[in-house]
Amino acid sequence: MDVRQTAETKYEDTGVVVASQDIRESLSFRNAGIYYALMFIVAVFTYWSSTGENPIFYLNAANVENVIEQAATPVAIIAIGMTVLLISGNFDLSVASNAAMSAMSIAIAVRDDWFGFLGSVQAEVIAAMIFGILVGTIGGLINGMVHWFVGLNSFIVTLGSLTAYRGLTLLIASDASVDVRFRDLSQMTEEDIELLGRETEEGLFMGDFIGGSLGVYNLLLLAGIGFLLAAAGMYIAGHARLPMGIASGVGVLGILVSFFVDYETAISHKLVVLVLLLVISWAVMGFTSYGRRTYAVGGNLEAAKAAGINVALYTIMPFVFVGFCCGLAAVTYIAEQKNIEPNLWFGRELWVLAAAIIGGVSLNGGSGKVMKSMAGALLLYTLLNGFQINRVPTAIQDISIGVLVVASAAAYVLAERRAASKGRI
Amino acid sequence: MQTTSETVTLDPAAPVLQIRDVSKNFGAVQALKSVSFDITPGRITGLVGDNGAGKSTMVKIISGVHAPSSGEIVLEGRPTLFANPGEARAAKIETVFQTLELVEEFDVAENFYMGQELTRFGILRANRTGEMRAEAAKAVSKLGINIPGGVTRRVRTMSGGQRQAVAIARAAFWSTKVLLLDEPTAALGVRETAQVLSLIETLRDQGAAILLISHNMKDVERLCNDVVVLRQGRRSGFLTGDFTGQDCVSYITGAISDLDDEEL
Ligand SMILES: Nc1ncnc2c1ncn2[C@@H]1O[C@H](COP(=O)(O)OP(=O)(O)OP(=O)(O)O)[C@@H](O)[C@H]1O
Ligand SMILES: [Mg+2]
Repeated sequence: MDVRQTAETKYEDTGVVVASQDIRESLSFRNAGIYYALMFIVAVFTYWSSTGENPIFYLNAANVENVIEQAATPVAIIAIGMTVLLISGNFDLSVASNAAMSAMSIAIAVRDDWFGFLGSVQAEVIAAMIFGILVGTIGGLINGMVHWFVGLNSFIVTLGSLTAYRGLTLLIASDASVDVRFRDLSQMTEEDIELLGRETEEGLFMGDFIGGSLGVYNLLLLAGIGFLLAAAGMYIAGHARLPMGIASGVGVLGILVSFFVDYETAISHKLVVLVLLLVISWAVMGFTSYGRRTYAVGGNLEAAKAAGINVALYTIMPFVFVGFCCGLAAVTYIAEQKNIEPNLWFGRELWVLAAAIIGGVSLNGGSGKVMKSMAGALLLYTLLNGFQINRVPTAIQDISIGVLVVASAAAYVLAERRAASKGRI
Repeated sequence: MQTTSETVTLDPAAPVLQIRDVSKNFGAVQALKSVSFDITPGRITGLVGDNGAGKSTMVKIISGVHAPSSGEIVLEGRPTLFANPGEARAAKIETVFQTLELVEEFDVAENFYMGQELTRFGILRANRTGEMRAEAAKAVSKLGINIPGGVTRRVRTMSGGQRQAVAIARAAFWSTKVLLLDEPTAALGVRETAQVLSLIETLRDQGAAILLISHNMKDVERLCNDVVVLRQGRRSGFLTGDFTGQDCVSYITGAISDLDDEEL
């Protein structure tokens, strides 16, 4: 039939146009602006730092790792969860309190030997970590349940838990800082010292087990193979060529670079956790039906419901995921600490939200990308680090960051409007 | 995967859905009072009435959005209660809601497959995006619906009429048994309306049982085999065989009524 044929040819035509537009679209300022902004700021600091009285090379490996590690705990790790929650159409103000509560729970469990019955110190460490993550996850679950079953706006629910979780943290800590210490040196056995591989002056700490690092060589090799597998998966799933190309490119690059890396060079566990969390969230949100449904629920709850999606599940699970991220942030943080303050990370939820907003997540739900929020978190901490290296006064730092948050949100709104008026979305 | 090319083998005379004495209260508002009618394969049943008569409420009850306050829905001889819209969709009942229920941030293909994605790798549920786009594109061109920009165009950028076309195409794409259409042509232009009406006829000829809500009596007269008239939540009339749009209007306004206590 004539009509049908023209219709089909028409689709094929537009199909080709779409494929080539896909690439241009993804690299457009509107879509990739955050990455350009990050590159720009890094370039500015690299120049700035090399011109002062005692010039340094800003992009040296130690400084890069330093920035990423500062960003990771707790802001970047929690920002990944927050992005998923914002995509699903909700909001969590309680993240910093929840993460502090998780960290404090671990500290107290370790100090008071709650898991002593397990026999070995290793088992105790693992149990304490799982316990901390569980506390955070339950904190998130409570937020999600109250929001869904009571039908309260998530802003109000988590404004309440922001205060309540902090209060609980103060309560269990009896208002004082708590050492994350299994035992003092005087109580340590031969086995403990052997286990540690050394003697410490202060005793046996949580961080003696979960701190430390992993060979960069192994990590790059693993990540490279992971990215290649992801690309293969995308090929089978029939995805657009751009993400597939990027994933296989990164994979090959990772494997190649790994051969040139000194075997001794190491990377902290914190980064491993951050990268794993990021890659998994990116894959789930971008390439699975779980992700699609989360976007659907945040984009139009009624439509998602009418389509038969279990909207209760897809509303509550993102809260649980943010809680899980809070627990994870607590565990990675505790690896480096000898004690936990009850007012740990006070007010840090605003940084998490700022990272997501700079990354272009909409507070209305239904849109946002975890990768971009990660870039947002890096951008924030790059700024802070660059300001510190170049001795910018704190007041100016705060003003700059405040302006940045509003300006980036404004840039997204304007870019959307411009694209819409050109009919390009 | 179900497409419209599959035909349903059912005794064409037997109703696929029977609505029996369905009532619905929203607090003090009684939106439906003991309404009964049948929906039959290969026939188009009209549901007409003034604004607020209860038509959309009826559609939402059949599609599992609302639970009826009393009464029952019989699907192929078995009393059924859909706890949620997913169960109705699983029973091959598709709905075009008056509010369309599309996700604006999604493209056409994503809206088509929302909640029923094609995936692989078992529980990993990796989207088969390419396949979903191709299938959606095939269905769109087969239905003769014109969506400029193809199936990767985002709904947010579309006009009201184009959105309506997407919603109808989605329902036609999935449904083989029952199609509930709540004012499907309300926002459409002349050409698109004609297209949708002929699409409805095609689907009827393929054996779908269709419930059509419309305020356009000409369309109702032309397309519907039976018409149920709702007036203030009650079934005030039933027309079948030879009837005109004017007959429907008389029932809608209350000039004629099957209800004996109707205050005129
Ligand atoms: N969720 C609800 N809560 C309370 N009342 C409702 C709800 N949905 C519908 N109603 C009421 O039920 C009655 C019937 O509404 P319904 O939407 O079914 O009308 P309709 O026949 O579809 O009208 P229209 O032609 O305007 O679409 C109205 O009085 C309406 O106010
Ligand atoms: Mg209605």
